[in-house]
Amino acid sequence: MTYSYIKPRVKKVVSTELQLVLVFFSISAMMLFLTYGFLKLKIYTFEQSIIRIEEKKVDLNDAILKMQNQISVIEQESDKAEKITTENSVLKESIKNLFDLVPDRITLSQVDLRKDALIIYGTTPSKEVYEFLLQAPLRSIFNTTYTSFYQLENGWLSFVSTNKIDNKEVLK
Amino acid sequence: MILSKIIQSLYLKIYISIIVSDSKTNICVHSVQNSKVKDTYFETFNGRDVSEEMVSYIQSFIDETPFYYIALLDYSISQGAMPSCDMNEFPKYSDLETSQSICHDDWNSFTSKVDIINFEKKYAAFGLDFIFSPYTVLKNFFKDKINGHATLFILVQEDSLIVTVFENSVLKYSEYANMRTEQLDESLSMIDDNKEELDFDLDDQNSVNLEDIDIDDGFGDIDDLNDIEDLDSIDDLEDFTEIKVEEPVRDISGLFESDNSSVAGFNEDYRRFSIIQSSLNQYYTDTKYENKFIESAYIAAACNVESDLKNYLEEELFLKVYVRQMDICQEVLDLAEGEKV
Repeated sequence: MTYSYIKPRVKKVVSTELQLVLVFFSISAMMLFLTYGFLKLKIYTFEQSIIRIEEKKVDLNDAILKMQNQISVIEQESDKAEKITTENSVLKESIKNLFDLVPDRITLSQVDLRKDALIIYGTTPSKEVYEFLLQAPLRSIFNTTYTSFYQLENGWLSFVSTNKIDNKEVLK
Repeated sequence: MILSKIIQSLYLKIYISIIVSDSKTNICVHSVQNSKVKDTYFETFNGRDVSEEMVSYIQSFIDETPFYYIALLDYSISQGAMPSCDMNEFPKYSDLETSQSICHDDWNSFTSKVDIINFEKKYAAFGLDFIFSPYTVLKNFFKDKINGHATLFILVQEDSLIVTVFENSVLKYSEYANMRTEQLDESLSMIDDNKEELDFDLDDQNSVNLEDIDIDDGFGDIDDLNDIEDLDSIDDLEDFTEIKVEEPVRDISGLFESDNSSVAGFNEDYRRFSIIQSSLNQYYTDTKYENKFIESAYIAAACNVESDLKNYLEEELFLKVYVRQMDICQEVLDLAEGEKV
């Protein structure tokens, strides 16, 4: 129980001036620690960013490799497609040339174009027409040409011409 | 909180009590370490004012530690105590607005708020932490006696007197008398009376007829003077009247200085006795007090009290009187050390 009419003053271990100095130093120290902490945090964040960027770089490198592989595959396919296109063009030209070789009086019924051979089925009014108009250009192209004829009812001859390239030269 | 207590236990604690009397200021100092009184110092300074010596004396102690506590014993003339803690009863004893009170067990001690502010201003050089009521000091001093039936407890200080009645540890009556004020009132009334009579006589014959002079200024009947010392005081009275004829007192200060020549014609103890007697009379007659018959009186003598007072009380009021010497400085320090800080 208190018997005093007034309350005792609050006693301070440190004086007001010293308190001010301590507060000032505390604030300074706190600011230093905060700055240190902030920098530490930033460094950590940067390190984490670097790690993430490194990982991303690796991923990107992998992706680049993958894409390069895909590009090479595509290039190969493109080359192949180009080659096929060229071959087809050559083939088309060859067929065109073949059909240009066939005179109007001879009718082709079937053409079997193989890698090293050409087998032609058709009808000719006569053996001579065939020999002069078709066999001669065929012999200039192929090494071996063999033709067999058989008589049709209307007087025309049906023929089967088998032409081969011996030096294994592929038709282009 | 715990840290604060640990820090406090590391430091020395200084308790200083200031007891102001009419002509001097007593200062007691306790240095306390771990709840044990290490050193005690005592110093007396002349006068009631705060002197530079006093400030430097106190400063020399409070510079030692941040944990110092300065206690003042209230010497406001507006202080008192009332036998209730009920604030509705307060106006019967003092003005509620201008008083500050502390409730004890079913009784209240109070003092003037203005005086408290004045004390704080007066002692601002070193500040105050506690202001204790003399009633609290008295109660604490007689704590082993106040728990009985109605008994008179008196605190006698050099310039003041506190008369209380305690019953079962509860205050039933209180009276604060400032000897200086009482003396002043007494002297003023006597001077007025004497002046009238003396002026009359001087005009007539420039001499004093002792039969015309009424010396019954609170002194009572001549039969009251049954002690040899009282007869001495009659001699003083005669001297006094002679002095008055030759050199009438013109102002209060002059009157005050002539105190030692027994202005009222009574010694200190008889004045104290008169106050006690009138207080007791008030206790018995005033209806606001719940009065009971008083058989005994305990006197806490905080100053030098002659056996006369005891004799007066025993012979005139038929009381059993016990006198106990009190080191009031020490008592105030005890209260200060008991406070929660």
